[in-house]
Amino acid sequence: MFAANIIERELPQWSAFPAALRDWTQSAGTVAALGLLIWGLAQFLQGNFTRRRLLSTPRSLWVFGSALVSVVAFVALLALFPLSWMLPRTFQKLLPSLGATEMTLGDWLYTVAGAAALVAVITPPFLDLFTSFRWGRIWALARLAVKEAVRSRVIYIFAAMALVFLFADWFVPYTRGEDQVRNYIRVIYWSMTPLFLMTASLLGAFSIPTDVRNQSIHTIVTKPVEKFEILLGRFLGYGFILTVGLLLVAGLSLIYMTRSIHPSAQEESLRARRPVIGMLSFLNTRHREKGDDVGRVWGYRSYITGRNPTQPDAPQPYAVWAFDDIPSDLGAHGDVRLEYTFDIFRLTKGEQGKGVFCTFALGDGRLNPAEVPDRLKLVRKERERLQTQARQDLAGRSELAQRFRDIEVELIKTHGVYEERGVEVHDFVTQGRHMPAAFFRHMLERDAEEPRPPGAAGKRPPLLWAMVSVDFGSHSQLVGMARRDLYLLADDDFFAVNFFKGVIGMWCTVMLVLGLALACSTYLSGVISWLTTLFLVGTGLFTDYITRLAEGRLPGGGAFQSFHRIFTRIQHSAPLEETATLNILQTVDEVYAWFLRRFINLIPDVTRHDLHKYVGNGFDISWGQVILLDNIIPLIGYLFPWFVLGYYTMKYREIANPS
Amino acid sequence: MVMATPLQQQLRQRKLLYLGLIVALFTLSLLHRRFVVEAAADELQLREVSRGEVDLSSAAVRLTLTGSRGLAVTFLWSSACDMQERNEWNELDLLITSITRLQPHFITPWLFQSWNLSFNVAVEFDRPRDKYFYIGRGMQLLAQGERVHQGFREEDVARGKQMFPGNPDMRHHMGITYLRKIAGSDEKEIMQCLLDLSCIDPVQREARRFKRTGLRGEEPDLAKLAEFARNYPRLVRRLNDKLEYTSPLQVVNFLEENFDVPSRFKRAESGRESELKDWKEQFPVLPFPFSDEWPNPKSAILNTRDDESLDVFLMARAWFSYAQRDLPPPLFSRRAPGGLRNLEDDLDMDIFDLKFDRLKHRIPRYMSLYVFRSYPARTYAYMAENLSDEGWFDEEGWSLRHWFERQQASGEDLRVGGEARYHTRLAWERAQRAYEQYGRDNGLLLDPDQRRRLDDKAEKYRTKYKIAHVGIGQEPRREDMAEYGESYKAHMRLHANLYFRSITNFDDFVHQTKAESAPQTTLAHKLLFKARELYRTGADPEMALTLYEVAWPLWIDVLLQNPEYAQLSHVQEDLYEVEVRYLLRLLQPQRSAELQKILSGFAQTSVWPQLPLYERLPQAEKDRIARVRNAWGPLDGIQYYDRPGAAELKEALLLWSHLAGEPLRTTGGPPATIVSLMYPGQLSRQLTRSVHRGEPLPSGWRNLLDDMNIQLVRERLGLAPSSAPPVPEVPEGAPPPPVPRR
Repeated sequence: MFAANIIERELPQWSAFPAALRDWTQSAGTVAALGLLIWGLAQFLQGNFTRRRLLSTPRSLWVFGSALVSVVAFVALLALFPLSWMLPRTFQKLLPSLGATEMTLGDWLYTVAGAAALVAVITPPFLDLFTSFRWGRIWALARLAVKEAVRSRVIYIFAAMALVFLFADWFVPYTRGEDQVRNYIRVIYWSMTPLFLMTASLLGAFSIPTDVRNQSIHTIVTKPVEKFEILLGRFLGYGFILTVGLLLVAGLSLIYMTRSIHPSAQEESLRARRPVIGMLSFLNTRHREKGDDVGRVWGYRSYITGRNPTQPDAPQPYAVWAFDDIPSDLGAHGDVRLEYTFDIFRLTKGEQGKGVFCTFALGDGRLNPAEVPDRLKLVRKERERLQTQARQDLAGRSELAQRFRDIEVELIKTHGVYEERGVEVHDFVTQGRHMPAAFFRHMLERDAEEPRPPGAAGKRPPLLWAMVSVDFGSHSQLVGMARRDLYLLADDDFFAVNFFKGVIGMWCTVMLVLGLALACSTYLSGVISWLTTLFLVGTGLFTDYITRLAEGRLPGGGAFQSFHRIFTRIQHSAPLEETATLNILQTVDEVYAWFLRRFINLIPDVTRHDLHKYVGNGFDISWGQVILLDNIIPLIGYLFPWFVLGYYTMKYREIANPS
Repeated sequence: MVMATPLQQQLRQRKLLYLGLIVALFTLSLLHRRFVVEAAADELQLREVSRGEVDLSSAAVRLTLTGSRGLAVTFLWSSACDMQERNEWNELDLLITSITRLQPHFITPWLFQSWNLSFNVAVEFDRPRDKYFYIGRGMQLLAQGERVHQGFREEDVARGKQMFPGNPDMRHHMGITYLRKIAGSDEKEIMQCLLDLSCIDPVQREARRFKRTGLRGEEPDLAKLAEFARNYPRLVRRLNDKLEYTSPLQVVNFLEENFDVPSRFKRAESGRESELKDWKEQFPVLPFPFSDEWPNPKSAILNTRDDESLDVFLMARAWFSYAQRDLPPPLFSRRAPGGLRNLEDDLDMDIFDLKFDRLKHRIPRYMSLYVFRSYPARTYAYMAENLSDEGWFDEEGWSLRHWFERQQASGEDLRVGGEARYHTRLAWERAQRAYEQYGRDNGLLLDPDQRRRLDDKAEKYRTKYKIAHVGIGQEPRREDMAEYGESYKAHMRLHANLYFRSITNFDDFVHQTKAESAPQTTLAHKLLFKARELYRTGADPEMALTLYEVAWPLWIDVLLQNPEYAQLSHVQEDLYEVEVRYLLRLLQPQRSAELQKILSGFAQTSVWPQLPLYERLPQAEKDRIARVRNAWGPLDGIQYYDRPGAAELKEALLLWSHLAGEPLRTTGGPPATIVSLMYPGQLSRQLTRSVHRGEPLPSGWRNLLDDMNIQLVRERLGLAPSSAPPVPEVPEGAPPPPVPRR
């Protein structure tokens, strides 16, 4: 809606990568262990579980050893649970913490069990990769896939995008100036995403089953080709076609989109801001981590108000952003723009056409935020004194203005604080102030000369604070803010580059769908593969909701309780009467949630690849944190187990098998 | 040539026969479809094209969705709710567009989502122009929906094709949105200014046109700005008076800040005249111009009429009038089936049970038809009120002199807005005519003779069945029907008249418009307005006092001459509020020295010896002498006789007192010489007295301002404690109050 990037989920950090890897190992390892169990049972029932076979080669020895480690670790892990019921004080803290930063014994066991199962499972394909697979063959199969796709005229589907360009005005007939680019981006994403997803899912789901059905696959498998190479070849070939198509359509969309853009939209969205974002906390509110709640359904923002005139001694509430580090060249080329977009919640009408007046302050991070207001009072007095003196000494207007600027710099250097008072704030619009470069330079220089000492908890204080308060004149209004609503603008990049970065997100979704559909098609029929893919991707659009459902965090209870509420017309906020029916419903819901939790990791998080908000709101998509860490790595992490599954299903499929 | 066998010939003949039959049946079915099925579908308004405008792309998408349209719409609706919660307004807007396109013939999403945008979304914004945008967006959406259901296509109008009834509710809602969000919201002044900007060609309001380079850099070009004010006086005055944009520079800044509002014009190259947008894409959005009385969106000058200025109420009125277009004709209008009739005719007709042809007419879904029909007349009155509120009364207009104070006064006329279209009294006259027409068409306006005749007729039934003068009565028994049937119908006709008059508040509006149409009332309003402005701006409080003192007697005359108007509670409340403000905020501070002396004198009377204490008090102590909160003003003590026949009695008294000098006449009204000698309000001042407020009222007399209205105003201004009964405290642990069952 405005140039504040609303991201409710925090972006992943490199520091959290090991924890994420651990979680992935546990989840993927469980699936691998399940696969091993099924395979083991099958082998056992077929009587293949002989010592000679298991320990015949170093490879089978390695696999058997890993599987054994996994089994032992899982058994130890499972043993913790009955022990924790019997001796809760001793063993409960050893159970897996699932997501907590500190590793318990249970976490270690779970990770080791998962990792060992994974090793056992991936060893055969891994060894095949170096011994049996040939990249030349894979490349040839990829080219074949491209040719097949071209011959099947699938690329004509991309021409359907032309229809979108023709009818785009159908969606955006009447737009507020500032929203023009956002709406174009939205429409383009709305059209491109389903178009490419359908193409990818159809290509992926039907290609191998069709070949099997037509028996044309025999022309390939009878050649010296590994079966998994067919899968990889298809993936690369179709991936290539889709990538080229995506780039072409994205290029055309960019040309279409940047025609006759409204100046305010240009200012708002046709850019790629590189913001420096701080951590938000509150001062003199009931809770440090949040301000007042105004009762909005969406609790993204917290609100502060001005000082109540009936309680003049009450402390002034502040929203405080802590900036741990800022780029070293910030302020080197002039004043630094502080941009913000807040929400205003009015308790009184206020004055027609006037916003809410706020004070923006910057303070040295070594100061306690509570000290900053007092320091500012001191600065105000001193500024007054110095300015009065300057007025007496100097007559020329330009000289006086220069002197005033010098006074500000002096005060910044002496006291380490700066403020702008009476700033009119409106909501749902990007506003900004140019903050003196001297402040930032001074903070950086000071930090270089005298690095910040770590505090009591071993954490260094932030480099600087940015504080916002509501002025006395607007005391009856509330201003809502979230962490990303205020930032220092470090740089601006090209919009076009950012647009293509956004397309990378879409590309990740397309590849995810393609990979998933191909993996499913190695065993299932075309239609079933396609429906399975659509089901998984479709549910992936609601991962947030499903996670809350699985964790029992939905208001009004689980699915069965909600069903009961619908029929008894009890709204979800009202408590249900404690009856036997409720007990039964709650139990059923718990069982349902337990099953759901088991399958939740099968669902891909598709929404994370939707980067249109970055592009539409004019925020740079960073290569490292957003593209690599939040898109590419999760994509690989999700597809990897599917491809391993594909390897086995393809391998054991009855297609021209020698035996 | 080989001859075909008889079997082959038969086969060929049979084939030819079948082919002929196929062609014939196909042709027949085509003709049947064209002339029977389609005609019937047209007649019954079943075809999309006969409902209104058709959107080809919308229809195409609906077809491609086949049976999954419901699913898609449900998903979109859920997403729209989600987007609204997350304040993602532009995405909400896109989703709403898609929903309405996918379900174009379901009225509720159009109504609900347009209201949602205009009311819920708009109010979330803080900047007026953003609010204005979303108000406009909601209205555009509704207008679009209305066009889908309007019952005709634009090209059909030119061809004179049959038109079907449109949806009156959607049209009515358009008018309501104009009224509530632009004319009557908390920020109505700025919204109306933005609406004015929307109607002006952007080239003409470009801020740089009004800037020039002067000695001190860039400054406003006063001559051009004055020209602008001459063309758009209401906009400039509203900015000046209501929004405090008092200097020319502020006005130019306002134009600059709000240049980019939704408009009627396409964005033009600088220096070139703007082109009009297609009438459907313009804002303010207006109906298809069926009537010359409505602003014409196809014309660059929206309102070409000389007698009415451009106003938000004009647009609302266009929609309200358009909403009447497909209603069944009013029962007593010329267009009614059976022609013009009056209230005494056709007593068999049941007014409460309206019968009409549903293929030709539509009625509003929820609102009473009588209330629905009253809206156009109501907007006439609103328009007059708005003019009065802005200070446009007569040819005096408004002066721009304060802009030129720093400069040498130029010889040119600096007054703007003196034209007749800005005169309040003329606007009230139009409102009066509109109400009378509405009353006549709907059988609400009943002249005393008609009423008496109907009363006489109804009396027989009332006596027999012991029915009060008003109120619904039981139907006469079958055996009495022959004797009392007509009398019963007369009673019911009077009952219906009273009922509909009361639900539409018709009498009050008629009395108000009549009283406000009088020049004296306009003058009284003008005096109060000027006094208030002089006080508000602090320009000349003494002159303000003088104007108030001139205004009060005039108001007393207006009220006494129009006793029904005087008894309207909102008139009394408004006047009393002005009077209280005058007493407490102007009179007492302006005359504080005298007042303090009097008050301290009163205080001293209780003490002996009476020393000249007041003169010895320091100024700070004198200032502490409180103002009198329970002060009574010139209107408060007026009492007048108000019984049936009061007017005749007053006339008789006046004649009696003047007859000494006149020859006796037996017929006609008061003699001409008497009339010429009379003070204009003399007749109405008969049987009137001015007393102390607390004095008891004689029987048949009433106060000019009722106690209840005075109390209400005093409560509102914090001068009196609330008279509402206190909410009883619920003791802790007490059972909750019973909830009424549905």
